Amino acid sequence: MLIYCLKRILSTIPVMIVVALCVFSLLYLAPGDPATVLAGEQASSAEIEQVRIALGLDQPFPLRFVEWSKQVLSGNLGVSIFSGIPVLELIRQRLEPTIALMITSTIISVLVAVPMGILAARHHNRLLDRIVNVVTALGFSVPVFVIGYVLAWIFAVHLRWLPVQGYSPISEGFADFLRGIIMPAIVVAFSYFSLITRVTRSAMLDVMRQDYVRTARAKGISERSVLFDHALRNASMPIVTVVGLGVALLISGSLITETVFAIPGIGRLTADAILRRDYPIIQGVVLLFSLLYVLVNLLIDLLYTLLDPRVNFQ
Amino acid sequence: MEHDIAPQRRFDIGRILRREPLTALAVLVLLAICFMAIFAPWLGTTDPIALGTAPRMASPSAEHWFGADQIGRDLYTRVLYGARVSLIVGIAVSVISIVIGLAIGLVSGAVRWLDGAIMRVMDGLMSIPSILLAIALVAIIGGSLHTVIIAITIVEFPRVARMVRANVLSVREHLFVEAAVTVGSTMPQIIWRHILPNTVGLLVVQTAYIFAQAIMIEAGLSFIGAGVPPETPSWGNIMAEGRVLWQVKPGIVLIPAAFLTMAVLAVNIIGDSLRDALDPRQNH
Repeated sequence: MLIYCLKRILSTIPVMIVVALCVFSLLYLAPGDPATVLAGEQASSAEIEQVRIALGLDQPFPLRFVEWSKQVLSGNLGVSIFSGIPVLELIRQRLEPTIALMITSTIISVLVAVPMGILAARHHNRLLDRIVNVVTALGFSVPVFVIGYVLAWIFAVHLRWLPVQGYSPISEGFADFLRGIIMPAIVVAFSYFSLITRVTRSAMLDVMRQDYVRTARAKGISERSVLFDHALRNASMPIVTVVGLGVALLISGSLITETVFAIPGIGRLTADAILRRDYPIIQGVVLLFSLLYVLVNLLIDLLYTLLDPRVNFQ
Repeated sequence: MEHDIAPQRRFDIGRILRREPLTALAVLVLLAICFMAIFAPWLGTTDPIALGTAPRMASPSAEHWFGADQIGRDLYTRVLYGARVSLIVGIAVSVISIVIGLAIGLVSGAVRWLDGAIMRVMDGLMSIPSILLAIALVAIIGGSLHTVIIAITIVEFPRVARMVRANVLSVREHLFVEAAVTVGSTMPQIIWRHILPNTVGLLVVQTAYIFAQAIMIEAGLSFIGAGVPPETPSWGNIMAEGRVLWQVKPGIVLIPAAFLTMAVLAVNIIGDSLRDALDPRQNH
């Protein structure tokens, strides 16, 4: 098992190298020479020359990549062209709202989606199942920012129950934090919730056809115990896996939703960076969130290995 | 009875539409949006980019059906032209992703020694959350219709490649492929005669899903300012411009949002029923 875990950990390395290579190459896709791009639009030719030397553009590409990777590994993601502040510091300042949004969304999604999926599977092809199918179909098809505006229009502009936009940090009181975060979190959760519900439903349907579930029922075990102890436990693998894979939805959703609700997180940082063509910030955000995605999935795999005695360690 | 279980399942569109009114509705909606896009100049529209074709912030009226934005552009016109951008992006991305994904997937599934390397690259590309990768590409290359299409294609094709590869590997295990090898068929022949026909269904369904995904990503990119140039009327751009005043004039945001949602929903519903029609075993 230890060997399996090690192998799984090591398997993320080639993936991260490809990600790093993509992110690094991005700069070379920009029109014109990277030094001019990085020096910013108002740079003098002397400044451009300085950046050129700093980048080591006289070196061959693989060598530059290795050099850049070393910098990144030591925590240096470069500095913002616009403000001159290190990218890592800028990201750190904006991390709280985004992470808070993602965690709240995850909690909402998982708490609603798993019971919903189980109910839908239990009422397979009946009204409740149909309703769940329609709701999750909407979750896949309605873009996050559309849901955002519709909810904000109903609950903030019309009913005035919740603030229209803005973010209040946890440190300034949990109630205010919750009032501010709840609507954006539901917005982000919608697609994530749909994905988890669909997978829970189909995993439960698969499991409930198994002989051991029939045996359990035949033994006269209560339906509750059949559902939770026999079916859900065995259906948990695909559910847990999709919770990990869905983190990609969560990341994309959070970044866009921040723009709808004017939440000062990584999404706003990125949107501002796009307007200012501040490439190092964009590179840094892509790199960190991809790393987050890969690590969450690694963690889930490892956790599952530890928890499920059936996992095959080949 | 024997012809009932013929391996080539006939695919009767008319029957599907009669049995599934929802799919029929989705097809109608999609056709209506296509009609809007193609005939936009002749549907009572004005110039989508010129300023002052309508009174600023006009409310919906007989003359300006959806009202106008804060710089006096007729919203009805812009929404109709916006359909063009979405459809072009949807069609281009789905076709290019399918072609590239198919080629890479076939090579990866057929040529063992290349498989590992190709799949690691695909894994890497898929590890970057899709919107983020597209944002980075467009922000750095510069926003235009071409770069948006390229960026979304780069996001979408690895998934196609993975699916095609998995399909190749599973089809390869079948007896008929083994038989073909025994009678001396070459790899290209096997791909052409056995693997490709068994992959077409999968690709048709994926085309629909990628189409829907591409429309959504394009709108998302434009919405946060990393999409087609701001003066281009696209649904995401119209929403981005309406953002500032949306509490006063929710229509500028909500009308393009409604069209966007209808388009995505229609394509997804069509995709679902294609999937069910091509694979009746999977009934949930």
